[in-house]
Amino acid sequence: MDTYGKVTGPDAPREGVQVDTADRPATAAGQGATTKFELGRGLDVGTANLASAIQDAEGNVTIKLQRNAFIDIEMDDYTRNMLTRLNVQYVVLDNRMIVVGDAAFELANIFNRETRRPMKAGVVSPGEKDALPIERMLLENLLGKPQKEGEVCYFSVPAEPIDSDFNVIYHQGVFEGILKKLGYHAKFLVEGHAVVFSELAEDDFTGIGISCGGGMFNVCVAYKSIPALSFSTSRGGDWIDRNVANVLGIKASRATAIKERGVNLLSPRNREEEAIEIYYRNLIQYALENIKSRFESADGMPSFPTAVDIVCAGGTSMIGGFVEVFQDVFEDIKFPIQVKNIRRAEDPLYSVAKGCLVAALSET
Amino acid sequence: MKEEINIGQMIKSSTADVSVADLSRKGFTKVKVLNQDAIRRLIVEAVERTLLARSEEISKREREKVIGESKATFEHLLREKVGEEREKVQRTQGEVEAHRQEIAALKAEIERLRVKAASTETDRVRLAAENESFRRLAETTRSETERVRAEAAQREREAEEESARLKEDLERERGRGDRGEGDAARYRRELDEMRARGEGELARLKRELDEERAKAAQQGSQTMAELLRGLVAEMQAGRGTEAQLAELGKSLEKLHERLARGIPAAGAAVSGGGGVDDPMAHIMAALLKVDEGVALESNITKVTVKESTAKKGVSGSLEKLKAMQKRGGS
Repeated sequence: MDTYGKVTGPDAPREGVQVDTADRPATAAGQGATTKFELGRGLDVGTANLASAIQDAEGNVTIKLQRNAFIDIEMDDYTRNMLTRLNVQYVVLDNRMIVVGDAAFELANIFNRETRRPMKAGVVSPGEKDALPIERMLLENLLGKPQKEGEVCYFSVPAEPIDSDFNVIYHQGVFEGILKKLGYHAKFLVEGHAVVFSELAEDDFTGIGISCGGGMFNVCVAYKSIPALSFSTSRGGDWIDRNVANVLGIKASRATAIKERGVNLLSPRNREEEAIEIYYRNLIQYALENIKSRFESADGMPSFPTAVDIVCAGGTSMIGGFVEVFQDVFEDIKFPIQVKNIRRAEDPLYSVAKGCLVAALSET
Repeated sequence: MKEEINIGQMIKSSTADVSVADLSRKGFTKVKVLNQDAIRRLIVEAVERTLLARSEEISKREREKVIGESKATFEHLLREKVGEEREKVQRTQGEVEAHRQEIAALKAEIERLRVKAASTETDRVRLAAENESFRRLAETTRSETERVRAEAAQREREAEEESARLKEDLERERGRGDRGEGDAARYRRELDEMRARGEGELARLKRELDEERAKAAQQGSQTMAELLRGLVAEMQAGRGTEAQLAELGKSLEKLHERLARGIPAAGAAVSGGGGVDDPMAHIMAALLKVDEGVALESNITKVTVKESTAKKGVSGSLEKLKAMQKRGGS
């Protein structure tokens, strides 16, 4: 897939990121009216969330996050007015009112329904006929118009999966088209590589970046910022939600809500959390075994002179005890690469968007 | 042990059965009845009396013998009794142990139920919180509805007032209407001239289109795909000036982009009837679809989206990457 740069270089201080969660009003263009921003955007096109990143002249990074989901409801004037007053985003499509983003997720839980998802297993959902117009509007809202025609926007794409029979060409083309239509010069970057850019500067961009997303786990082995091997496995957080929902007899959206309300894998407190812990452990086991198998069969695998770090990013890695369970499973597997540390990205949910931003800014 | 005398058996073997009718025929109207217990008591009494009479004559040796036998009998009975009691104790101990285990199992069950009850309580509290949340949402919705209704009523009143005001203005304007007629005639003339110019331009474009169609017809059955392939081949063969080729390349790139964006969306619409055989139909439909520029009704740009600021940026990573790129490139 991507071969970004061919470089060697010295160490630099690690750039940690802590996010201030305080909301800030956004303008239609997605940025403050008086703030001056650098040219270049980063966009994480995730199965569960869309995130954009932009840097201002002082070096502050602004992140906009939108849940990649929607739900359709009955259309009438009252609902239309109410949704706008309650700050809920909607789109009217084929005489149906479609609520998008976080509100869709909340409504699904209240009405005990499933959200509709424009993406599935890391790519545009083939079964969702309304996916493309919704994605276009969500991206338009997240990015706004470019500051200058042809502004570079790096967007994330999944690497080729090793356990499924599909490719990402159509998915990549669709998002490239949407961004070009918005006026951006669209370029893609594989997710794992984006994690390397945002999290492994201290190690000369050498190591293993894993983006643990809703649809997939994306892995990139990089040496001096150059990806030696990129691939994905087609199970992620959604797989956990589906299975937990099945065993508990609830909707997947409800399982997501339980998962996100603060579970610790090391100390599940009830039957629901135990189910989550069981499937999490199974998912990590599945991913690590696939990664190991791929490493062992790869011809172009670099032999690192010293042990490297594994960094996990993505929303699925945010649950309490994730790294500990990952380390626990890792110890039982004879990994073919010498590993120094296993750690979570300092800001897992925004790591891919920030990596894309680094790629975009490095071209200006 | 000595064999016991079976009194009942002895009576049975030493007596004969006579029916009540026979006795009656023989003149017996009453009979005395002795039951088995009464006979046993009589025998015991007779034996005791005999023994009492003989005891005075019993020798010392016989007494000691009797005492010895009695003692042996007593000890034997004692051992039996003690054994029975020991068995009883052991049986009781076993039952106690069984009860103890049963109590432990019940305690565990109680604990499990207590934990379950605690979990149920947690769920109940959560549900109560959710209910409270829904109630608040409903409350907010209700109050919002009231507010919207009030606003609507206010706006209706304002609209009525505005309407009345406009009517008054209209009446006033009608009074001075004649003055505007001259301007209206001028505008109409200008409009007619513009329409005439437009029709002329349209006729010219139609002519050009007919000419292009005629040229295309002369090329027979050559499809657009063949035309494109021809153009690409021409480019690859290096024919034409560099400027023309560059221009052609740009055109093809634009066409490619439009196709890449348009084909999937148009494909679904076109293939609704069961698939499309002609790929050119896909391409043309895609081009048309892209150019439609369908606008969707949405409030997306009117509402705020959650926005966060990273306390630390990506400057360090960026500088390092740029330095590496520079070094790699030099």
